[in-house]
Amino acid sequence: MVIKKTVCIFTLILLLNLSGCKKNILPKRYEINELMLVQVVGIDKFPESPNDCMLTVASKDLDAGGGQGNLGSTGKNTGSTGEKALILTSEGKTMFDAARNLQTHSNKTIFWGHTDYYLIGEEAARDNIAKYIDFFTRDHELRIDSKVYIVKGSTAKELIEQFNQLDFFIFDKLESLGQNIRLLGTSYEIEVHELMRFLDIHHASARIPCIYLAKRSDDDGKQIMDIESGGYAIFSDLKLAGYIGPDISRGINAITNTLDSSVVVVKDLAGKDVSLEIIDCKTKVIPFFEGNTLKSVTINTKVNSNLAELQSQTDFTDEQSLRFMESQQSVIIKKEIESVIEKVIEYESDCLEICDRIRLSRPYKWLQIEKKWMEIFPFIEFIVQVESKIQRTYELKEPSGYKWSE
Amino acid sequence: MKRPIKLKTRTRPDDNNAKPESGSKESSSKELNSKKTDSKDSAGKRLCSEESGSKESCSKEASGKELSNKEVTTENIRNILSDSSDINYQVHYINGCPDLPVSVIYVDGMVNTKIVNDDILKPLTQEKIFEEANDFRTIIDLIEHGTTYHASRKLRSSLDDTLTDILSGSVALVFDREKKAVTFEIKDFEKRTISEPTNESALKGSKDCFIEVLRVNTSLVRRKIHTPCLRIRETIVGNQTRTPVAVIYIENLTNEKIVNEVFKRLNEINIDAVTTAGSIEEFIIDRKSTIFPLILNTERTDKFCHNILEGRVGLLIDGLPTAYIIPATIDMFFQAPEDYAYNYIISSFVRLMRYVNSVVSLVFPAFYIAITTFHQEMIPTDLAISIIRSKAEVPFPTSSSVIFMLLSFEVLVEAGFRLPRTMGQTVSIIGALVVGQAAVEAKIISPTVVIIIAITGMAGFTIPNQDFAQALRICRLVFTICATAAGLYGLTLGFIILIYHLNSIETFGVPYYSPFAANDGRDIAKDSIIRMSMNSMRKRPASLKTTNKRRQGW
Repeated sequence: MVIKKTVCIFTLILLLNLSGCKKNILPKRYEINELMLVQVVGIDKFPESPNDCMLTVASKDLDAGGGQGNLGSTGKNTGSTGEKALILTSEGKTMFDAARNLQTHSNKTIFWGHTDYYLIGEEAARDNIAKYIDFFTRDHELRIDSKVYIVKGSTAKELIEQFNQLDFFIFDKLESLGQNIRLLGTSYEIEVHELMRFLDIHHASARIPCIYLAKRSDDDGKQIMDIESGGYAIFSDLKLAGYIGPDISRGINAITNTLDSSVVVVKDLAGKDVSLEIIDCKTKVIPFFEGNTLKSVTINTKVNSNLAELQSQTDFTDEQSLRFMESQQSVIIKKEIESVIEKVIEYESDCLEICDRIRLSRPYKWLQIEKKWMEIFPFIEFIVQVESKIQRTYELKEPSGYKWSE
Repeated sequence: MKRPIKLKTRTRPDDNNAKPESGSKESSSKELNSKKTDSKDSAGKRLCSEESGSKESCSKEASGKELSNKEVTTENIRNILSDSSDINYQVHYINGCPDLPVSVIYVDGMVNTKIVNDDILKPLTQEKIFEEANDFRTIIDLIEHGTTYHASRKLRSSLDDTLTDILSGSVALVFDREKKAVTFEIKDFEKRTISEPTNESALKGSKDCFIEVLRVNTSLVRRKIHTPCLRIRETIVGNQTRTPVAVIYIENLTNEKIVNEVFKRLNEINIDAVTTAGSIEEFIIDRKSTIFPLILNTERTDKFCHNILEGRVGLLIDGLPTAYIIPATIDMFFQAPEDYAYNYIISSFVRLMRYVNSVVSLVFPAFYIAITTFHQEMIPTDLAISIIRSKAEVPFPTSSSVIFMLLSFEVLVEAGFRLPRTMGQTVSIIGALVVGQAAVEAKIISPTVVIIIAITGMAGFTIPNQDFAQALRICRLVFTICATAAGLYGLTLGFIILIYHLNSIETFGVPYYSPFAANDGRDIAKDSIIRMSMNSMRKRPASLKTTNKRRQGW
């Protein structure tokens, strides 16, 4: 019995060696208040320097009075007290190098485990996104459910610093922006693991929601910088190819079944505005083969809406009125889808994952066209079909003021 | 030189109050056998009295053989009990005849003198039938056949038995010429009344609890279990205290191997005194090197009887207001009698909460240390920020703070137990103010740590059994140290060792970790983590291997 126990205890002690820590048997310990919890990471290309990778991190400034001020030459603390972010910047030959350099600028241990947003500057995105994102997908401390945005028209550092002038923490802004773009249906947040999947699918390219700095007036009429959604950044072969703006980016969501909610404004029979709220949108991608030749791809979209607002006092309960509104909605969605297809063909990017959906629906046929997919992709005939249905008009069958209009 | 007493424990011959009213022949023969065994045992028993006045007599009485050979006479009793002031010796003449003297010996304060006077001495002096009796043999015969008015009488021809009776509250009529004594059990000493249990509150159930008097306690059990098969067999433990210990079980239901094992272990105890619960408990448990209780104790009669009826063996010790249930398995420490009083769904929820709370109480501080010092990525960001803010300017590491607070909590609990009740409240107030508020304001302790310890403490108090809760408190401290050393890795190792330890324990042949690790987990879904309805609990716990397995529909 004693021998058994000794063996057990000895085995357990030996197991400590499996902790992955070579120098110390026991894992390393950090007090939580000695950590700087990075929440937003900005990734930029710094072309003028041999150290072309630039990293900007933002965390909530928890030390009253800016406890990390007066940092090194490359580290810069632009944050102040309150809810603003504590921002650190560093450069390096690689992202990992920059990350290590960042540590030298902070009196706290940089902790990446709470990173929720990666903002990739336009220059870095145009260079090669895989090059800049690799460190963040490889390191065990970082989460792969963090969200990725492309910063349109500026560097991520500029965006973070500019926004920090406001009394609003950038993390909170990005969080609310993510919810808003989902409601508007103009974009859809992409997480790191989804981006990795895009990069791994052989023929598909990435689409990443983009944001940009926009000027707007505050309550006092003063011009302030704010962050707004700019639709999608479209990638072709790991490089940024162009953007699809919020005017048509809903078409991407419709094709990729990521349109949860959106508002479509149509006219009623009286010519007044009617708001339709999209509550459900399902799209089927149906390839049509002749032999082994892909002749056409049908994009079949079914949109269900609620009648959210009616500005006229006409009776809309008749079929004709509803069909009239539905047809307008179909036309609008169809136009957006067609525009999106046109754009992605122009950018030579299958960011809509058409290839993957053909592969899943017709796997044997797909094998025949797989190798020449990007050659045939621009010449595919896309047939867009949109069916709209207004599901609910809520309890109000007649609009306000209907009786007086009679 | 005085020598320590060496006494062989034995089953008392007067244990026949457990005699079945309509028992089988088999059971009757067993009773008889036990009587025979008892008399043999008593013959070999040795006794010495520390109170012995003369060194000579003490050295003589040190030999058990010499004592057992001695005759029952007043002189011998007087030699052994010597000049103890509470022993009352009187000589009475039967029916006033100087030729028929009888010594009346009893311990003052332990007998009801009114009964002695009215029911024993008065008939001896006034009953006409004694006028015709010329010799002691006839007188003893008359007493034996009810001429005195007391029912509980025993004829003793052994000095040891006579002394035992006297010292346990009987009156002895010693007939020196016949070398015999008749003892009457007329115990009447100050005792606590049966009150509500103080440590195990009864919300919906019987409110009587055990007291310090064994006979009252056995009567409480009898009042609840009327079966003639209920056996209450006594044995004596403690060379000096000579404490009666009653073993209670139901014949033809309880596993006989467990009963025999209990008797075997009780008889092997060779100690001076049984003044505390540990005196018996620590001698009969299987595993000494564990902090977990292997015997369940209770002061509630309903809980005791419930376990007896499940097929367990009960122990009642004279002088202790607590009953012991053998064997105890881990699930029993999470059960409260109220579980069977309320709706089974509600009871299941409450019991589930107890298990969850025990885990919380066990690992929460360790888990907190692990995630705040090793695995900060596990904490939701907003919570991490709150913790960081609460810990700002606190100079001590989280682990030190937590261990310090845990120890402070133990000190408070211990102080609360030791002080009188009125002072106990003062300790709570001081504890809350000094350790809680002041320490947080002085930035010595983070408020989060105070919350963690408070939740841990509260969770620990939901465990019905204090012995088990104390064991968990020790484990909690060990887990905290494990987590301080190696985070979740250390905590997991600690947990594995704990589970291994619990699984390695057997108590009276029953796996301690049952029903979780025995009998293919058959009883898990019935009456452990949850309680099913009474209808579905048709069988007794399988791990007890009871003779009668069914408790319903037989």
